[in-house]
Amino acid sequence: MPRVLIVDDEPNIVLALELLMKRDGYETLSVDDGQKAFDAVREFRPDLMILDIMMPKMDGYEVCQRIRADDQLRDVSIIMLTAKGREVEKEKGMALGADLYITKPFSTREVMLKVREILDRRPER
Amino acid sequence: MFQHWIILLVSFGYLGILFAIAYFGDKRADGGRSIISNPYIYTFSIAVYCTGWTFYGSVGRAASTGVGFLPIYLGPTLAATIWWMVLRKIIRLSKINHITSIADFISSRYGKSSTIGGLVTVISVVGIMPYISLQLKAISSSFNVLFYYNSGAAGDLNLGQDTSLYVALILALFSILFGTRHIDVTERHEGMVAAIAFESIVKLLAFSAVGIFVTFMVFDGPSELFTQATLLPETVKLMDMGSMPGGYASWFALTFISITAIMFLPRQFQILVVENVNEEHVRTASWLFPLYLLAINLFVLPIAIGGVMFFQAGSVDADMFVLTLPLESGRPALALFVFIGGLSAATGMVIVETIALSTMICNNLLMPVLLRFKLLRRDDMGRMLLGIRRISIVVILLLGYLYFRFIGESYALVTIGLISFAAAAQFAPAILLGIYWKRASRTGALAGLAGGFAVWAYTLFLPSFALSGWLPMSFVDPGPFGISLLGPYHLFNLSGFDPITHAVFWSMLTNVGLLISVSLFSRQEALERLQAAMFVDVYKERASGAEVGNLWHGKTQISDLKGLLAHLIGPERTEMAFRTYALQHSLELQDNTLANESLVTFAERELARTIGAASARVMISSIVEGEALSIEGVMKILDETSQAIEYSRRLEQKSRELETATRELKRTNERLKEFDRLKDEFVSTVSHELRTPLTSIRAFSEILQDDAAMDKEQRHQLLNIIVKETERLTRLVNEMLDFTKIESGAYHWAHEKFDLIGAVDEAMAATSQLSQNKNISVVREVPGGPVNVTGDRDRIVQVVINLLSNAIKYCNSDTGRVSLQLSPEDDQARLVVVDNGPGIVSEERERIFEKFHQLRDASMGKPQGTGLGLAICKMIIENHGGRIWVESEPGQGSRFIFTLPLAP
Amino acid sequence: MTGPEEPTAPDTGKIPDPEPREERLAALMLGGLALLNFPLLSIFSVSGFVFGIPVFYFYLFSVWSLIAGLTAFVLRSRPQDSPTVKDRKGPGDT
Repeated sequence: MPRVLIVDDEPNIVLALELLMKRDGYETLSVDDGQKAFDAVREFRPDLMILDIMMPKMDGYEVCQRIRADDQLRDVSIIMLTAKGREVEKEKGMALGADLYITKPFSTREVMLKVREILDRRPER
Repeated sequence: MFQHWIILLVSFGYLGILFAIAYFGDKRADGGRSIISNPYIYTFSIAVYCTGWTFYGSVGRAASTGVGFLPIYLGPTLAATIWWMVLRKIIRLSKINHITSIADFISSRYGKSSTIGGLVTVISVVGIMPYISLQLKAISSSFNVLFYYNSGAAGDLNLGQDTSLYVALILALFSILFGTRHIDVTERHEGMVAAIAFESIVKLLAFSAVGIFVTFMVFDGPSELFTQATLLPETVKLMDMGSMPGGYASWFALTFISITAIMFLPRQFQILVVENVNEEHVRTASWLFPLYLLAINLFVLPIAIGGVMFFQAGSVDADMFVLTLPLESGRPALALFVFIGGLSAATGMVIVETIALSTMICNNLLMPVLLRFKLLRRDDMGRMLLGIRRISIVVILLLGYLYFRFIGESYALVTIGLISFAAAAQFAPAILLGIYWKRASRTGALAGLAGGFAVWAYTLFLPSFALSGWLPMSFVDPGPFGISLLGPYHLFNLSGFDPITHAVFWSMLTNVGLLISVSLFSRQEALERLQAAMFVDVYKERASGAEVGNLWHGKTQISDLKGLLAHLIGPERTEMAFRTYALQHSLELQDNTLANESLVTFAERELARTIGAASARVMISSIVEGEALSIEGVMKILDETSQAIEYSRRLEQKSRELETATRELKRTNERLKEFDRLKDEFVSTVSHELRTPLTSIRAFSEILQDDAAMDKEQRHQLLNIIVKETERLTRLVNEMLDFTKIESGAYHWAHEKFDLIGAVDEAMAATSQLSQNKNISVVREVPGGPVNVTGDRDRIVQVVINLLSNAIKYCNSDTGRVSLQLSPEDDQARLVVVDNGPGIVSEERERIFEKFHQLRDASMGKPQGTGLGLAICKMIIENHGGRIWVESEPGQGSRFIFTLPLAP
Repeated sequence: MTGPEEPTAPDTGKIPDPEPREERLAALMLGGLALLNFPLLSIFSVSGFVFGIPVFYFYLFSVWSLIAGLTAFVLRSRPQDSPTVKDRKGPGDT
């Protein structure tokens, strides 16, 4: 069962994402800041993480960058999810190694479609 | 007629008096109470212009040429009219540069050139030689008249020459005593000036006495004298231009050279410029000195006419009329007084002239040579300088004696003097053009001086040897090697002039022509241009406070500078000078530290006071390593013409204006950019804040839509979230609208009196839900009575709500404590909201009230709100005439405080 | 001892003169030169007497006094005259 890590400091959005993931049969873990997210990647070994950008302690960009720099963690897929909708920010996210960049508010169907696509593309472990 | 010893006793007695005056003057000067700081003393000292030539020679010249003696005094009268401009400028320049002599002045103007200084010195010494001999001749002749008049031995030539040798030696001794008494050799001699002024009074009195005697006692007043004179053919021609040799051309030439002589004879320069105590004295001297000249000349023609008529056939030397008339009339006491007057005139000239010349010989001729060949020993330089000057004085007087001995006998006094005048005139172009024309260059001045001097020597000086038999007469007529074209008295066959006019014409033509043309075709060196600019623009430079001549770029230790100065001006004066400098610049001068440019320049000037500018420069450069010219120096030279200065000033102003405009533009742009950035950030923030609730609303709505089978409880929970998020959106939109409305000034403020306690209660009620949710207690401390203020109640409530909800938001759940204190204080109501939250770092404290500013500290979590809340609070409070601020330390909680004026 | 800084009194060369003093003096010099030289001089080179004094002699001394007098008049001190460089002290002063 693919594992999805949800990182966002907005409880309502976390709740919504958890509902969506569970409904499609993924195993989830949710954390609300960047530091915890980094630790959770090590512990939980997710296949995919949904990463908010504006967060306390460590922002999404940094989390992404560090994960991609880490040999053991780098193969996790990352979807950046953010309220920052400008093109530069999107490019920055992609440059740092995100697989996808989704702007809030999002269509739940579209997000789930993308999640499935990304997980299907991944080699089986 | 007189016992020899009486004459000698009176003479030496008089010289003794002079010396006493000089001694007294020096003492007073040392004590700081100058006796010569007085425009009248200054004026009388200038009268050193009137020498034995005036005293004896004028009468002699008048007896043969009538009014022909007068241009020599009319010239200075005309010159005095422009002293206020020209002389004052020269004095100012000399004071600034510590000029010690005319050679020093010219050399300093032309790039401190020692070549020019040397040339000027040579011209002076050679040119003045006849003049000194003239004084020796005057004194010894007057001695002889007194000794031998009517005793039958008047014609004893050998004895006369011996007398003049003794006179020369005594005068040398006297000059040494006057001018080179001190070991610290400075350019000024206060005692000497005092003595000279005294002498000027004596000679005027003596000459007037004999004038009055002749006019009113020998004759019956001027009318009678002149009437009688019309009866004699020899005297009638003396009363108009008729007997003036050379006519009007000569008259003009004499006027011209005396205009220059009054300022540029070395002794006149010494007295007028070097010994000047105060520029302001020029004001008085400009009119009083011409009057002195007028007074001393008033009786010249009457005495001359009287003498001619009295002695008839010309058996007596007209130069000695002033003595022979009283003697012949049986007035030996008057004759003795007149003799003293003549002695005054001659000794005064000799003393000042030899002092001036010896200074020049030492500073501008010998020092550069000694320096070049490194013949100076540092340890006894002061003594050596003094020795050089003393020897120079003796040599100058002996040269004068030799000239007198070999040549003087064949000339009348005036003619000898005029040769010297023509020599002094050679300095005029270099000086006058030098202080008004920056392009006048060193090579130009050198060419002009050398050319003028050569022509002078050829047309006046050498012929005097021919006339005395030391050269063949054919040298003068027809000319050297029989070429009449080269005849010194009629060069290129120019005829119609007397020898003096002829020489003045050719030498000045050569001098000015070379100075101008060579200057126009030569390049000036940096230092030269700098000095030129400084000399021409002395008033401008000083007015702008610019330090001129800070050219030393090399390195030297202060102790080396001190050592150098100590050898030349004595350790005490050196120490004092450095201490004064340190005081004036508030500096501590350590001996082993490097001297800065300004200190080196200062030392150079101090040295220049003693040894002249050119030598001082060489001395300093011997211990200062490195280049002599700094970038600033070069830059200053670039500004040399006033047009360039004006142009660059305007350019500077324009560029300043441009700079200001650029800065203004930059600032505006920055503001705009900052505004843009803030707006951008605001849009970004607002967009974030709008997107977050929208995301939840959309997500849950879609979930609910897709999942019809969801249980009722969960469905309710999700719907509840959607409602909350919608409220959040509404609040946000309202806040933004509020803010824009207040900021644009469109908001209509209510103006009512209300009790703040009521407002506080309302705000607490509005936030009670919030505090209960986080389990935070909010404590309220308010006074018993009402706290009335005037304003918009709803808005004040809004502020209190904002502060309270902020406090609650930032506190931790359960442990958080918030208190609200309201108290009237003087004429103000003061409300404080205290929390025990994380606190705010100092740099944020001011900025949190700025619009769009949000706390971004990582530990504080993501921005809570729009960043408009506190900005709105600030606007509201300030609109009510109150103040809002925060007191906080990180980790210590925060105290948000506002004050409002109490209602009356 | 004279300090290195010259007194910085306001400069009369810079402050505009309330009267055209320098021009007046220059005019005086030019006028004097004209009066005391050919050809004006030749007008007075005649025989004759004024107050018992030869005309030529009288003329020269009159012009002489006139020049001195006018110089004094032009240069007379006025209260608004700014002070120029003050007395310079002699060597050895403290």
